[in-house]
Amino acid sequence: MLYREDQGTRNERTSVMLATLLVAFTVLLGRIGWLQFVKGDEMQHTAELNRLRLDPIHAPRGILTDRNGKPLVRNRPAWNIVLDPPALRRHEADVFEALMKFRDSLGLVLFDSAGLRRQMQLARLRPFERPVLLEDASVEEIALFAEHQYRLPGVIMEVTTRREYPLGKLAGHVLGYIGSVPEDRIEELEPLGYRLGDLIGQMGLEKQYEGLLRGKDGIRYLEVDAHGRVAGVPKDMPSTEPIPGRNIRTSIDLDLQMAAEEALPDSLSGAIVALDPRTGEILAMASSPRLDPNIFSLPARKRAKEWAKLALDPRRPLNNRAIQGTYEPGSTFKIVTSLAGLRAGRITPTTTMGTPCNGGYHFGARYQRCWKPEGHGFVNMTGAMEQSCDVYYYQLGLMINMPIINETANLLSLGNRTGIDLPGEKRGYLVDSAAHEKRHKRLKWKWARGLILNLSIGQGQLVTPLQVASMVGGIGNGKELWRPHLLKQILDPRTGKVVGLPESTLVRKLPFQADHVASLMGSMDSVVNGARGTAHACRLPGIRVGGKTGSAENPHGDLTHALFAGIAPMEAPEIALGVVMENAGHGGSIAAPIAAKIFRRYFELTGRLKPDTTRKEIVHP
Amino acid sequence: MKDPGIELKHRFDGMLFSLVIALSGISVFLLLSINKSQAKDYWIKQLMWFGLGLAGTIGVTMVPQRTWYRMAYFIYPVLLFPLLLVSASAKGAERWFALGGFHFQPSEFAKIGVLLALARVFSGRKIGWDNLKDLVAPFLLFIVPFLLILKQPNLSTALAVGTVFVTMLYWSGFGLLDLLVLFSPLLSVGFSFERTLWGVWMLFIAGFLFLRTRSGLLPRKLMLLFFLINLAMGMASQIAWNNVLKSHQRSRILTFLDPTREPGGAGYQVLQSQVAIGSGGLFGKGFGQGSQSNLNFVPEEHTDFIFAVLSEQFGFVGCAIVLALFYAFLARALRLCFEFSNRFLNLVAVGCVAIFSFHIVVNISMTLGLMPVTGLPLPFLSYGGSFVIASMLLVGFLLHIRLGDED
Repeated sequence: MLYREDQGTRNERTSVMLATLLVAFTVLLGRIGWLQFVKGDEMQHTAELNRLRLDPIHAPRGILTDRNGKPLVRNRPAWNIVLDPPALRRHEADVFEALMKFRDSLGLVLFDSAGLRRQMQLARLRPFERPVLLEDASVEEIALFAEHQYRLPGVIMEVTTRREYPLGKLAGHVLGYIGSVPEDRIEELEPLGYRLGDLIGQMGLEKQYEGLLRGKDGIRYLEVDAHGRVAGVPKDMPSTEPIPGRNIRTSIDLDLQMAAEEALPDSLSGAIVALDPRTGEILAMASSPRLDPNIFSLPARKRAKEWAKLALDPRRPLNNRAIQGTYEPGSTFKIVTSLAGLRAGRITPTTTMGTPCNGGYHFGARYQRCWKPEGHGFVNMTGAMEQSCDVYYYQLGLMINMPIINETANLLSLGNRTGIDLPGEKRGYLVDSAAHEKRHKRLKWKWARGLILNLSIGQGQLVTPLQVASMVGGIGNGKELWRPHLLKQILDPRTGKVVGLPESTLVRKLPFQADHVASLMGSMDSVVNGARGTAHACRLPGIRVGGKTGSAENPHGDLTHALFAGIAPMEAPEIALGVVMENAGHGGSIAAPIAAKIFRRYFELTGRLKPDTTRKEIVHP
Repeated sequence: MKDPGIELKHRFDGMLFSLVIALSGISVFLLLSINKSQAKDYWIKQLMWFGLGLAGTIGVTMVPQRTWYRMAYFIYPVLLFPLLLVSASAKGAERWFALGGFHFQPSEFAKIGVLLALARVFSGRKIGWDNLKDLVAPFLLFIVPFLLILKQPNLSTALAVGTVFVTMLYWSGFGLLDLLVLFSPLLSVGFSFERTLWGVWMLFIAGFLFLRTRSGLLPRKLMLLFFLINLAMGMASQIAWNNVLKSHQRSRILTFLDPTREPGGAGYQVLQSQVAIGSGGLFGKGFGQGSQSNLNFVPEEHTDFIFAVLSEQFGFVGCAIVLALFYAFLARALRLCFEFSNRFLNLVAVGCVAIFSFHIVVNISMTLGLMPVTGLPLPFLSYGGSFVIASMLLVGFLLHIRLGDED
């Protein structure tokens, strides 16, 4: 059924609707009038004389310094030549033609046509971004562009900064590097304010503290004349100020870091970690083969070449071996086994084992050798540590079994990430029956008691050099284990004031008896200073150094990995060292002398040793 | 009672038609003015779209009115179907539908389907608070395309459909105050972000609902229900804002409402558009002299921001003339309701007026910086295939009412 409305109702309703429309149209016309008459002059000024161009104000990234404020990373000004899509539209063909005529000083074309087309297409797709034509332009190139700017609407020069690592390869792995936001991650990063082409920390501290180091870009409008030249800053246009990123003071000691880099030869792969066992602060961290983060600040083409070289290098220089290299701890693990024995109450520092070392040990049908074929005879714990007698530890391991050994190792940060403020840390691996059977599930290898023999001398587990340093530091401290960390202070770049400190760094109180720690320290002392100590190469005049060497057999080469875990001074340890040299030989002959150099430098720096004048100075830029 | 406009029946409405032609002419003229080099083909293409649209207009008038009435429920699913295909196929961001190499926006045509179906369903019932059951069918006919278009996502076109629904509710018996009751929950959401404002609003709505009930215009049960809905919506939106939405989602909504928050992104268009309009002055800079729009400082100048082009070149006078033409056009269309008593035809006319008014007001407000930028074209003036044709089809219905064999 169809309703019919009477004339009155229809009149009323149409009138209401017409009146509503009239009000709306009046408001619109009023607004037009307001824009044209009240704001008219201002708008006319903006429109006629100038065109607006959006100009991001670059917020400088925070810098990194060593613990004494010496710069490790800084920013240097640089020029980019970029496209400004709104101004470029409709001039693309002309600009393309003009750019293709550009030659550098050698007479070679500056752009390849495919690359240029790609950037222009990018400009069309993302009109609010600035595709880069030329990164880090040279003075010569800038002059060339400035001269021809009238022919290049939509091509502008942008001041930016580039990241510079003034010390080159020094601590390159720790500092890390920055690179462009990868295209496949732009979706997830866009909400955080990243745009294509922005730089983001990709490794090391640059990645870890991206959120602190990165500032927030500001935005303002510039008035640009018909040729794209900047005419001024318009008033009354919204703008936002850039917020610079935070500066970070790291715990690295530049002088000690230099000593570590010097002591670590380029020819060997390996890592050195020095930390303060009283706080967990990392004093030096070096990894070889080295990495120069400056290559990531090179213009794109050169960068790609250098990157390929790094990525394809079989020695894997991109790895920070200090936290990502996992090695069998070898005899350095005997520190843990000894402590476990003391904690289990099954040995004292002076008791000997039932069977003397005569070059090997019979377990069932198997004969397990000691590293010294002539044997060590009857030795107690101190003697076994000093001479690194394997037979003693075979028997100790069998006596106390794996659970307490692994528990002790765990307390000393082995088998778990230390929690250092660097991305990509490896956790290492501790072995017990369950872990063994899980790892070898496919081969159906079963746990056997004979495996304890190997494990109690550190053959079978995996640790990182950082864990070695943290472990020996834990013994040196005796009471607490601190989380290794690199961040010392967060500073406001404008005021220089401290605005942040690392989060709580105490990992745990160590439940060790003081006399156990003391006797272990005594044993570590005799490893260096004892008559038959394996680490006599690490002796320093007037300073008591302690430690434990390790020579870990491994499937990668004929030579063993050389390890050294050391602390000094023994009376009140201030520095703990972890040294690992891949396939270099014995811990006592290779790793201990390297550790000695770093210990020496540390005590020279703190004024307790006279500088060794024979040491050749290496001048860093 | 005899209709006073009866003598105008069965005549071609030359007035309405010439207004449409005038506005279309202005469109071509403006597109011609934009730029000599690249936009050259825009005006030719626009002429072509008008030609096609005109064919549609004639086509619409050829079909007897009774057939349109009978076919309304059949046309509805046919025009909605592509919409369904689009939302099912793409991940939601696709508004376009390709048919034999010709891309069109199904939502523009879905509007017509909704218009006819709603006109048919509303023409058969008297709407009021005491028979709310009668509202179920119209509501379903409206909400399905509304949600489908919203999902594309195309908020503005969805709201245009919403406007049709609301206007028809009004025409079918809901007074302005009834509509205020109906839409008070939405206002509650809006007000809930300012605590005191919300308090005042809740007091007002409570009193208002009470008075409506007292005067017997609203059933008691509904009074309570609406008050509770208002309360719940206000609180829920606050909770959602603070706890459910992530900070970047909040900032996206705020930027949508106030583009100047982000001068680099969405705000850029509005700022440039305002500069273009403001620099026009009383008489404008003259044909082809719009530096802002010509040099491409105004984005989307040929489609959504065509009003800025007009304003920059022809100033306040040009704007006033175009607004007057639009108003005359809408008034002329509404006069049909005044002249004819057939409710279906009234509703069709009212629906057409609703769609056109929504587009005109929202588009111009957007270019003036009064409303968020939503990408809604200006009828007859903006360049664009689907929308021009859809608009001309609507004009066809308006012309048809007067031409046709009513009753």
